[in-house]
Amino acid sequence: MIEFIEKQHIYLKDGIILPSVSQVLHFIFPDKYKNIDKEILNKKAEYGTVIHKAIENLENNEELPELNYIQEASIEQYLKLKAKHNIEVLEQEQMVSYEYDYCGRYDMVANIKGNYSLADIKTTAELDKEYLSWQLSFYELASGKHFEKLYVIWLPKKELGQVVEIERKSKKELLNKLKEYLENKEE
Amino acid sequence: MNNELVTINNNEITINQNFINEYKEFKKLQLRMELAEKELKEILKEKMQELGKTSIIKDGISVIYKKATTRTSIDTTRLKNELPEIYESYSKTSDVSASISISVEL
Repeated sequence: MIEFIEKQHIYLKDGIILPSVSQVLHFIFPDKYKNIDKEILNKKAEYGTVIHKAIENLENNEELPELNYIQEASIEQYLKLKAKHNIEVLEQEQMVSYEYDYCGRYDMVANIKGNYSLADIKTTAELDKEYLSWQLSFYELASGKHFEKLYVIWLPKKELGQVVEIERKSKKELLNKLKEYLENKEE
Repeated sequence: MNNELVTINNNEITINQNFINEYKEFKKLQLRMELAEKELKEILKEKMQELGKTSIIKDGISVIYKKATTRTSIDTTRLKNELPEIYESYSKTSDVSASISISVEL
């Protein structure tokens, strides 16, 4: 069984740390956050975490965390998207692993626009579709399921929300990249 | 009751509490209206395209549809990297006044 240590964001199997999707993505996109101040990155991450938690609680009919008016507006945008695109959440925050080569935790499996879909929630000002294509495709591979569509529920700060379809990477592309990552990691 | 916007006591700056409360409400409403305006613009753009309309003037509101076009601008990052001397000779430095930025935390 795999254990997830939230604070350090690590996955353990029999006491051994397993690679995460985030680490594989960092290998593919080493410069993604290179020129961004760490403090700004942390603030953005905190903002995203609150929105994720609020959506998770909302979908579980639980009390929402304390939100400021900007976060409240993002949640209102989520509710609008939910109504507009018939988003019916089936699962949230599930941990998945591909043959213990890597682990990850996806945001949600949902019926979106009538499609059985895997979706990630993003609060960034810009959407990096190539990054998201790898991220969601790695989650899909590890889930062992096939989804009709991959989507991002995009909730940028102080902007209108959008549901954006993300292209899938092939299994061959994913396994090649994973092999490359594992070889480099062991060097 | 003190109606001053800002008071100073023992070297501490205090902003009028009534103003703070009204300001927070204003910022919330402002964001709500900005988002509603963006949504309205998206819907109107789609509908006006559909109906081939270029303007609507009704109920004291005027909406003008502007067709998609192209815009040419100078890529200053490339200019700075590839022709730094030209970039330098056409750059000017001006004074920027001190300013205050206010944000609502909660």
